[in-house]
Amino acid sequence: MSTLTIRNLAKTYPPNVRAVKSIDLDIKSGEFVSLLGSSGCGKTTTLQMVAGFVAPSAGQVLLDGKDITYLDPDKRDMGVVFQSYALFPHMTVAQNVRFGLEMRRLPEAQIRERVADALSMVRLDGLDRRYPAELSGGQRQRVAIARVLAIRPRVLLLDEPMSNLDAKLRGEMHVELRGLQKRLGITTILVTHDQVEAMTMSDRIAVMANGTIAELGTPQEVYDIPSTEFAFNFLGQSNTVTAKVLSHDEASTQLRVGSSTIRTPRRNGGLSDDVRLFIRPERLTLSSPEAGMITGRVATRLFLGNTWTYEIDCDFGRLRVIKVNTRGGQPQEGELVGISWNEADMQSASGELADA
Amino acid sequence: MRDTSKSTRQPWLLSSPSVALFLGLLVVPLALTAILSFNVFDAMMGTQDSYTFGNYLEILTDSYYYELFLRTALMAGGVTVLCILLGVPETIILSRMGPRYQGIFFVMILGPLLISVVVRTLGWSIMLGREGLINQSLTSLGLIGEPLQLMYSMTGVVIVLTHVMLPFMVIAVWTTLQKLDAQVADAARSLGAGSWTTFRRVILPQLLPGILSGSIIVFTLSASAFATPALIGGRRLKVVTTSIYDEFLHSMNWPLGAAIAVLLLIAIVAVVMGSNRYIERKFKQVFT
Amino acid sequence: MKDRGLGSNGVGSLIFHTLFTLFIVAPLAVIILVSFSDKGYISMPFEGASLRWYWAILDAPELMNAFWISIWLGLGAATLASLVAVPAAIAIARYRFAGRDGLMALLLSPLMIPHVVLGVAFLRFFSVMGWTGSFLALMLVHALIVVPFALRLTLGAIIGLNRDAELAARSLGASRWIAFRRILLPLILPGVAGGWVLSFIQSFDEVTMTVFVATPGTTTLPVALYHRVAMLTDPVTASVSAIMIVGTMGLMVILDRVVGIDKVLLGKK
Repeated sequence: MSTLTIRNLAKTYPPNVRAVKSIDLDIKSGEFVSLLGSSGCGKTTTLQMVAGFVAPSAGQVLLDGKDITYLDPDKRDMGVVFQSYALFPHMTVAQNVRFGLEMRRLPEAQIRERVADALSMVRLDGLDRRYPAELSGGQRQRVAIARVLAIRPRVLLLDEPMSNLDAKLRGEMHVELRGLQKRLGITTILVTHDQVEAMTMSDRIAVMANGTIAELGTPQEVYDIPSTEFAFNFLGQSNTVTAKVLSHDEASTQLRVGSSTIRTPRRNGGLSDDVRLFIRPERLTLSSPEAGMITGRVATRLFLGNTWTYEIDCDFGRLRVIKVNTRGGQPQEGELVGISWNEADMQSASGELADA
Repeated sequence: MRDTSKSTRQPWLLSSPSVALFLGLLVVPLALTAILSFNVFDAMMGTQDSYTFGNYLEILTDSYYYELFLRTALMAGGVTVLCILLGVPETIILSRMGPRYQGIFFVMILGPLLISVVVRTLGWSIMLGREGLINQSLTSLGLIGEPLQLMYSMTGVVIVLTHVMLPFMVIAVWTTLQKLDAQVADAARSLGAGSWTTFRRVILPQLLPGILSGSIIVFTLSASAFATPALIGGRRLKVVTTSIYDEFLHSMNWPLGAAIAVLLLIAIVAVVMGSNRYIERKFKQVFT
Repeated sequence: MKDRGLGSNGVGSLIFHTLFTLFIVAPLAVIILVSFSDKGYISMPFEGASLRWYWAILDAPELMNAFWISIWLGLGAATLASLVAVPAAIAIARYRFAGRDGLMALLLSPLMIPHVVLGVAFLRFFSVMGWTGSFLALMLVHALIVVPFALRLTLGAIIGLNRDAELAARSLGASRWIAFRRILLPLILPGVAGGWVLSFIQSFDEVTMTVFVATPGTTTLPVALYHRVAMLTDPVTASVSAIMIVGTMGLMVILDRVVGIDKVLLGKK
């Protein structure tokens, strides 16, 4: 299939709004990459530049090594699935799907075959004479996907395609769409603000902020060992702990937090520097006060069904702990508890001890 | 859309046919009229090639023209007041109806907008005559002894223009009414305001921008109305538009007619711009 | 939802509403009644009704000619106005460019300029250009004054439309032109058609501007009617008017089917 290379891509809107500052991204053939970020981070503008809807202010887009930066959208062979689905309301499902094939002037027999193939791929056989207004939200989305799959695009661009579906349907579509993408081996970019969506579907995630890529890696990399404080706080939840470096030895670093001394794997940084450490709430475990590394008192607890979220006041400040809803007693509000963790889970950004 | 030069060219390319039409057939003719208004007119030889401020001086120094403009302004003002008094309550009544009646009455009240003004005026001239429907019914009811002189009178012109302009007021007020939050009135009632107080203190202030913009439309359209004052007012009751017509097609004094037309245009534009600016300043904080 | 009927209006309100509606409808009803009179003067048809004043129209060639001139004028002006208004509406709705507000103001300006002033301007313009009495010239200026109506309804249709469908067509391989012809145009067609009908009505009804430039060969129906009424009010003027009222009502039904009459009358977007 196709490789897509994005180099120093930037977009500035007049008078001086820098929607995208500089994006570099190499997408391998058949790879699924998500651009994850909150609204205004530049992810949609980036996608629109790749699709050819918006002209970049600087930089290049290369498709299989060929510069397509300023190519018209109709000459790019890219399939775009829009958040609004953008179905043609005055055309039937079949007419929607065959539109791109007609533009390619394929022979009628081949068009029919490809339309039927595409509709069966998204399991919409038999609905070809319906109009978009007669379909459910989920069906409309399948038509939008069939419409781009029919043209066998070199790159698939998905712009928040699942955000108008209800939670259950969304989960099903994640699995189904990822399956299709893998089977067809289409190079794909997904734009989304939904972390779960990005994590479940992608080979790699580019976390975007302020018009740049803040973090790039596999879902597990960006979640487990992020290199920026932004990623710690943006992906999932994090406790932030301010500490002072006491000493280093071969394998570890001693730090002081409040009145406690803790150890983390060896890190750089001068003595008595203030640093910020991060630990995920689900990496903290609760126990009896005597068994914990530190003790704290439960301030509030929230029941979420499969988990409990605890807010615990302790020497480190207030820590959030997520505990699976197992059988047996759960600590009550006001109860004294012990808190423990694995030393390696007390992390700092990019493995460095960042200045606080 | 693709690069900057294209994205600035594209919209102008798309609008070039309309711009060409408007430059050639609107801007040029208006400019010619402005020039014409400075031409010398000779009663024997017609329009001359020489230029003068004489036409404007004649208008600005002759009390006849002051009266003409004043009469026109009073007529338009009267129509505007009547349109407010009749149109605002009617629109509120309409807004309280169910959708089915609303639809029927909207077509009945706004539909006449699409019917030629000459036709509507003809209907009124049949009703307003000395032997007309209105005088007949008023006489038979014993309300008047002598038939009223409605044709060729200011009263008649104002009545008919009110009929012609009312739909514009209803539209303007309706548009504003649609933006109101119905719960605000409920809130006022629950805070202890009676229905009249609620209307006066809560609804009316919010309707004011709509009433004002409706008034601007009604006033300017009335001041520039021609067929109705010409047919109902006749030659006895001249207004600005009918006197322009007379200068052009009876006296054949084109330069003077052009000067009156230019002054009318300036007056209308001034009223529209001035009141729009006033509305913007006054209501900007509340309605953004 | 339950129809609220006449709603929460009190007796006073309903009396006001009845009188108001009567005030609006009366002159039109009177015309239609008078047109069926069998007398030789303006009178009600209660003592004898006939269609004689409708047949009389056929014997008034100046009215028949004027009717056909108005029809052709309206058709030409509405078509030309739509042809220039559609691309302009796309430019205004889809692009942000310097001069956009100015363009909009220019194209809507015929609504603000008194038609008497336009009549004067065109009279002068035609005499300078030697176009006096030209049907084509009259059609061009009629097109100009109805452009705002075509523009407003077309703009309303485009602004209410999500742009994604066109972008989708483009990325599926459609050129700008094909995306316009196969996607945008079919979707805005009701608005364009509504604008066309409204433009036709406005051109057909226009009297104030046309009365200045009309010559014996280019006299439109409202102008002919105006001149006739200015001289005498006879039952023929009533029967012609009655036909115009009924014709307009027919067009209103079409407008309602195509775009919804509320959009046309209330300018809803």
